[in-house]
Amino acid sequence: MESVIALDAVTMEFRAGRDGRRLVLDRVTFDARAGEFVSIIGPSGCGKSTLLRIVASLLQPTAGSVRVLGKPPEEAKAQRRVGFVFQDSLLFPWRTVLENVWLPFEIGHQLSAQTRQRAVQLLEMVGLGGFEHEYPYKLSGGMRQRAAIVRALCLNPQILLMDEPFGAIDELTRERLHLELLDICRLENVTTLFVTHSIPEAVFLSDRVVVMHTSPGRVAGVIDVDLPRPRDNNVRFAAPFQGLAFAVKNLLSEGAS
Amino acid sequence: MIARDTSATARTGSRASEWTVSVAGILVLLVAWQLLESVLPIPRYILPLPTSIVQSMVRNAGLLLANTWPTVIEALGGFVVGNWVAVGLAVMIVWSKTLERTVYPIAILFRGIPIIAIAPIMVLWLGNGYSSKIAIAALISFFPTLVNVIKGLTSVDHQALELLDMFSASKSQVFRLVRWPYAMPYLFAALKIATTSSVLGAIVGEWIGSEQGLGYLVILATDQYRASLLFATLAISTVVALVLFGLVGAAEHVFVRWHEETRG
Repeated sequence: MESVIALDAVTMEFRAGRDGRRLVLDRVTFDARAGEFVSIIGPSGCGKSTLLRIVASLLQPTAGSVRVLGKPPEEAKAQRRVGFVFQDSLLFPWRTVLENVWLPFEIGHQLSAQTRQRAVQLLEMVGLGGFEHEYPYKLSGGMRQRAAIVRALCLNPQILLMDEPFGAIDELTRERLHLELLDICRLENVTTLFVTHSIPEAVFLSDRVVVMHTSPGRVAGVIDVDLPRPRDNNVRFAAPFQGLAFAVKNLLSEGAS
Repeated sequence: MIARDTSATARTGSRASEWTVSVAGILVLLVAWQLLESVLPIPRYILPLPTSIVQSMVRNAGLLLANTWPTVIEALGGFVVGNWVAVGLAVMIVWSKTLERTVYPIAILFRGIPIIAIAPIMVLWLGNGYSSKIAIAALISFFPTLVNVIKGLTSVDHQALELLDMFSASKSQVFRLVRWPYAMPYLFAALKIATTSSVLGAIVGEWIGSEQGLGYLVILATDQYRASLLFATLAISTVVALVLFGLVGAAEHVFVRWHEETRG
């Protein structure tokens, strides 16, 4: 299968102090194939969010090559093939849920009855039907993050980049969101890169888990998750899941010493 | 919905009782003033009784009113001009790095000059009419708004800017859709400061050179030892500033409703 996202020896240095440089990412190489769900897991400061921003073309790497849909990432972004979901839902408090969700259409001068319909349909799909005209402060954290996912999806991107989107959400809601997210990714047929620091989250969602070590951020290894799909919450308690979670934990802790 | 409605009622309810308490406090102060002064040997030409201030207000209603309008016009004119220029300049400064490095330091430099020292220059340049007072009121309301709006426009969450970047938003879209709404609470905070300071600017301008206005009346009443009229003029000036403040508060309530609700 072709690589939708391909990173080859991606290196990132930030300027630190007066003339110091800090190596944040050291020759990171991995790829994601069409329709694949790939998680990136690692300790804080391992550069996983930076890596996601490089794929999104929000940051330019110091060295190395990045191809997104076979193109430079800035082209993929300009063609709006890439959706990004942030840690914070970033729903603007002065806009209703629907107005927040159609923001990308508004920016692209594409607001029409048809695109509005698309926004409403997606909101209904994630269970936010009836909340279109509410303001974000009335929504729970989980509902806000659902709306944020819908906003990222409404332009029909081929790639979905997610930066710890469920970090601030309680566990029960998070598990429900995991199931919904897997459904959405299948229905919308997107390739997903998902940054997290939760081992169960990474294993449950992914086809592959990229484990990173820190100082400098580098790939420690990639673990294939061969659990059958569709997955339900019972998977979490079965032996294969536990084994995979243990493998991820071991790989993570190798770098912690 | 139900939960929200009750909380809204509770809020208006407590607001109403807060008002009652505030008004009662002022009344108690006035009554205490009246009673204490009847007992203590304070000369009335230094501190008039509240009742005689009210009497003076009624007796000199025509004089007070005739001198209130010029001050209102000058304060309002200065408020509008000063804030308009400040907002425009703030947008330009945030828009362009070059302007930030050139214009902003100049603005800060001018900020250091005491407004009282600029006032005579304005009268010298623009004469005794409205324009010099409008200029002073504008200058005095200019800087807080400039600084606040710049702060508001740049206070935007970095991730919000990345979000708009992902949608390939243009610079003007970033301003219209994110920076401007983010700056609104900052703008209104500055506008509230500007209401009282623009009245201050107008009155200071009238002191320097004018034949009308509340500032002129303050000088006149002081020269003639008419303490009751002086205090009446002060009271009217306060009311003018408070009315402007209230109008800005009402506008804020309409335009930045989301901010109250998010906090509330």
